[in-house]
Amino acid sequence: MSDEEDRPDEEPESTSDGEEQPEQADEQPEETVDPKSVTSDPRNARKLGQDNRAQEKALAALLGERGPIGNVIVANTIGLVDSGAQSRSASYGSVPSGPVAAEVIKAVTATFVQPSCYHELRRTLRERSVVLLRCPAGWGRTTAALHLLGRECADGVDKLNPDTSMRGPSAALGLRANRGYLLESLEADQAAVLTEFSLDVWRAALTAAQAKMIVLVDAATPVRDRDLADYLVETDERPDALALVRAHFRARLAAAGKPDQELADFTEFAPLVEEVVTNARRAQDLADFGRGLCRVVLGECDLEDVRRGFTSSADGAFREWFDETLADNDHRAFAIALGAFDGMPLHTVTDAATKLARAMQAAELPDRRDRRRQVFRVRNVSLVEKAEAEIAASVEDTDYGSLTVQVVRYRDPHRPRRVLEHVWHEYPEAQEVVRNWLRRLGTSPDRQVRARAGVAAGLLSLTEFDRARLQVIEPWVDDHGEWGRQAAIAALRVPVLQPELQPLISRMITHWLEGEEVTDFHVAAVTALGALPIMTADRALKLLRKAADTDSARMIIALAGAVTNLALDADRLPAVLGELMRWTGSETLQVRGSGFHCVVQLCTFLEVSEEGSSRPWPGLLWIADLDRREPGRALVRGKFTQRAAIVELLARTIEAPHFMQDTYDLIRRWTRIADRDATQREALGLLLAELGRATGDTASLREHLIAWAGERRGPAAAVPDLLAVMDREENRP
Amino acid sequence: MTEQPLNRSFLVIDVEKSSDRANSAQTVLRADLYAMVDEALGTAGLAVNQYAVEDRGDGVMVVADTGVLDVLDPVAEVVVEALARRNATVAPPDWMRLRIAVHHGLVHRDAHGWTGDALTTTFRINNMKPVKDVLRSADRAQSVLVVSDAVYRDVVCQGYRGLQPGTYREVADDERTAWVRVPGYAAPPGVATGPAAAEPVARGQAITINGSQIGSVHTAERVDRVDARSYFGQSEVRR
Repeated sequence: MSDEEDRPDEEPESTSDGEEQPEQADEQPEETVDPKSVTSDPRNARKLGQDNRAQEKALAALLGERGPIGNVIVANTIGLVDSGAQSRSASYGSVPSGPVAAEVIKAVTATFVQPSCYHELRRTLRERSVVLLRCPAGWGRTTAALHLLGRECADGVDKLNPDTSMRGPSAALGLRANRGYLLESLEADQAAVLTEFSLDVWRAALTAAQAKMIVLVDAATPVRDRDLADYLVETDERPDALALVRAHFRARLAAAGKPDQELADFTEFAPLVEEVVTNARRAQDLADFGRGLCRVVLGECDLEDVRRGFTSSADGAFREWFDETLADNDHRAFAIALGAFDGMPLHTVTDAATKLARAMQAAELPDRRDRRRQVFRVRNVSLVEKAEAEIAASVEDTDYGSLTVQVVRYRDPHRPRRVLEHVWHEYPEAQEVVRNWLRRLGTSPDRQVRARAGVAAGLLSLTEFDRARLQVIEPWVDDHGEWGRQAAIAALRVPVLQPELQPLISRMITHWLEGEEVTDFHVAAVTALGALPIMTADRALKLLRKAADTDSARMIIALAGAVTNLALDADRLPAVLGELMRWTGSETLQVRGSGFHCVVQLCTFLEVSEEGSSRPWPGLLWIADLDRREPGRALVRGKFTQRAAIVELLARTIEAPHFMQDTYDLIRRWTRIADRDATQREALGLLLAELGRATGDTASLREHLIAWAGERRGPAAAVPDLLAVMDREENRP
Repeated sequence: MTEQPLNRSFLVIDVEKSSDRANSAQTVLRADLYAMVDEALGTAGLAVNQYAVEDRGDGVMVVADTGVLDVLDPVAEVVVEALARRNATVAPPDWMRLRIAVHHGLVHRDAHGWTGDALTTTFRINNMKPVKDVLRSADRAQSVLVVSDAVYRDVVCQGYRGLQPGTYREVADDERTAWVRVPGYAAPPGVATGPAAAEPVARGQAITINGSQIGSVHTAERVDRVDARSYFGQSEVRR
């Protein structure tokens, strides 16, 4: 047997008969790119936003979340310049490490149903300050923990890094009074050696700090029950399923601004509710079911759509559909391709399906001479119909803007995940074909395709993380440039939603960063630290700091991208500014350089839409002005206002010889924006006045402003106003 | 009036700044408050003839034929939970914030309602200026719980049902002493810590020899051994 016959699905992608087209097109070698051309060009903000959004859309499609079509600009939140929509990633039921947003706690509390062990849990937490809550997956343990910590700790809740050691609290944790701490998954290794002594130490530290902590332990994770009995609350009795469905039904109704109604008012729901509630499902499924019923009331879908997603009879129907209705490889390939590319343009799905059908044929018919295909045999309409799919309108990002396109998608939004899981679990031989097909698509020049391929492969990692890592994720990282790296990050977005996989991923990323030489894995780790909400901002920034000692162009670009992504979260911005203060004040030239690149990129890429302003504000200008208008906001490193940090960072960057021109260029850009939007002039003038004071060189700023105003179509309207504000501030007694 | 005094437990709830709100908003607040109280009394398993709920304009009064421990937990606890659930659906400026007072004692009942010094005390402790100040300074809190000195010493300090005396602080005005707790806070903000509250042995309280809070915490009815292990250089008595 030839090599090709032995590995039929790994045939060369580009063949003389044109069977396969190479997915790797003309990606520019990363080290040849000048970092400044990326960090100081606002057009690259759009690219970063598109990359983020492609991954978020891919994840949403896989998880069956179909939001409104179109871009939504949210006022007063930090976004990326010209990126259309904000890039705040949805968490899909998972909680990012670090401070848990008050909105998350509120949402949890609004729909919380007390499990039978709740009072014991609360009493133990009050008495001992630290509790191990052991219950099965899908029980709703994260929800219970967040709710209880939210109630007992008025100052808020932090989710700890997934690999936090339970041997004892480290000083770096900085336990704070009236604050709750959640360790979402106790690893089996840690659980096996956890002793009462360790928990006594935790208890003492938490009590001294007036803080509380809950550690979630999976029911299958063995612990020393007898030794830890005082700290352990254990249950497998699930919260009342019907109450859970009702709570989410009513909450969704209230969120839609509708009058309060009871689920029982809708008698037509009763049989379905009975069936779903009786078949004990995961708490998350019950919550989704309650919201699904509400969508029926709101007219967003019909009851049959909901039934398809939640009943056991639907499981049987699904199997019959996949195994029997989809009669041949062409239809199955289309169904699988639609699983990965649900909601994408028809031609994208059919292209991918054709490639997969060929790969299947190659696996079944190793002799290439027998692999003749009838190109007119299958029509799209047949594929769509048999797949129980539909054609719909959607808005797609392109390099030159958004446009409405026809897309194909399953009628049941939960089907993409179901199809892929079905293939992963039921067909080991097909799994290999599909995996290799996804691996090739992961280096596609089309960002949507590589993001979808990544997320689909990520689904495999939920059950076989190491296999997915070795066979798909790391090969993407290794020598496949930015595109492969993006597919790998997209793949990791799925397992990071699982608390029990978070410690592994955290360690994997840390491992990727090891070593002095800049490798593909280094760059991927840096990108992941900015993109994946797996570590607290402090921890992620600390790791980025080590990577910042570099002169590698691709590493600097990745660092600036990671820092920018972190800064998009207003809660993380103070930590980012504090870290950049550290970098730009470093004695190490390369760390300083990386810091300056990051400052320039933040100034260039971030923007905020403010009500009453005709143009979006530069993000850091808006933050600085907000600090002035609303004193008492979060401090940077516990001592500087964010405004003071921004002024200092700008001052250091403008004084750095290699970055002086870039800083003036971005001030010029801000001035031109203020020229078109008078509401920004006062804020910019005040900032420039402070910048002048910080550098001791107001004269240069003034000279530049006057020179820009004198240019053809220069900011002639804004500059006099800016100078007036600067005069006023300088002459203030 | 009943000739024989009745031994009852009292729960008095006041809505903070209810008069600052428009009439329509007050109506919604009252409906929500009554729903919370109903839920709490239902959770406590009290039959309808075991309690009386009377309207107090910007609050309610509950006279319950049950032990004061039941009023502290579950009744007051359920009110606090239900309040959190209610406030989770509105922005912080629209939060309902409550002062909740608990006391017990003898009362008489006549055609007009309930009367007795203990009941008056419940209202008075709920309206003490220091109690109002505590809620005002606890801007992240949704409620403040105030108990009479007697309830604190006889019930809270015993640690029944996991009550935590360490989370209470003493407040006083010219006439009386009471104890406040702010759910969500380890100690009520804005109250001078002062000397530690008289705190009988309660389950799970840390006791350290050297005064630092760094120490292990154990539960037992008596001191039976000294733990030989040292925690950060401190010896520790295990109870």
